[in-house]
Amino acid sequence: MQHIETVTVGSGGAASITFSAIPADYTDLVIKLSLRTTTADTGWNDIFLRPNSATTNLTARALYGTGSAAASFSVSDIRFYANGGGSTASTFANSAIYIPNYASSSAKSVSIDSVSENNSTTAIQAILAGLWNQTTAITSLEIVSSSGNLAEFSSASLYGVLAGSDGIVAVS
Amino acid sequence: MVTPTYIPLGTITLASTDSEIVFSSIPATYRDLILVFQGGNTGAAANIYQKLNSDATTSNYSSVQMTGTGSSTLSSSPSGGATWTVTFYGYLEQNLNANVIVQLQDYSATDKHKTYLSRSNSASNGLSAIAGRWANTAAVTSISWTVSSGEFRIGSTFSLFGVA
Repeated sequence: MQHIETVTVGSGGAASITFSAIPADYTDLVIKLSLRTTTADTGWNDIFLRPNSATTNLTARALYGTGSAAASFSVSDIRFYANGGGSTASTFANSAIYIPNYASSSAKSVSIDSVSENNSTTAIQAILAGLWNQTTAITSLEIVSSSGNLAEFSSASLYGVLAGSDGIVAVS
Repeated sequence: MVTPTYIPLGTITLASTDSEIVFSSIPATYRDLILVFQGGNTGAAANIYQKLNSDATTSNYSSVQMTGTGSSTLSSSPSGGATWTVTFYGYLEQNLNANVIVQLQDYSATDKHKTYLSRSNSASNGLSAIAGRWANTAAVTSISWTVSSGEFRIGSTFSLFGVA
């Protein structure tokens, strides 16, 4: 896994983080995120993942728990979570996203693990399955806040994973 | 200097359907293994079954799993099987849209049973997280995957990585 780019939000916040001109040099992509918004919400806010700026042909299913209940839903986007700006000070949600075969000519499937943190009060822990049903290679990834801006010190790091052979392991 | 992780060990993209994929001769060089799959199958919505070192001993495989279908949640703890199921509503279908990521911890240790974590994802069926145990202290030298219905579909990809 090789580091491609890290973006850290500066003073004043930002509506989104964008990784652009992603090369087709790898097999899979990994994104690690630490996010908080500027809203007054004391819980969490939805964050959207948009391959190539897409807002259509997106679907996802999720399983989540809030500390007191578990539930599942399906949506027509690919989402995960950030701490709301009204949650415990200095806390950020963290998320890990895995996108296999991002440059292939198949539809792009996405695996997401996302948790918020709120000092033992209500928070969300979620796993999500996403799909961008397009055969175009992913060359950019937008991370967009559904409410307010991404707060200062929010960060996202993009990594590339290259599959291959070590010459020892046999595959049949 | 940054230490690389996810060392590529083996990969295959199916040019024809296949009923079983086996990674063998896995060296004991790494701490953990990660297996990444994207693809589908040729039959009805299907699960993937995983076996280590060709061990088909009944009761050696147990797990705890949770799933979301998009409208409901489920959890169970299957045991007594001769394989692991690494999908649970993260079913394969007749497309290439499912992905599964499996982590095997301390796979080469000979003083502990082996554990795995699996995340399976199907945006049209559901998703799961599974924790499993192989009641055997042998080092893992091979991993095999089969599918519960039909065969793995053309274009399915399987990639094995080592983590130092």
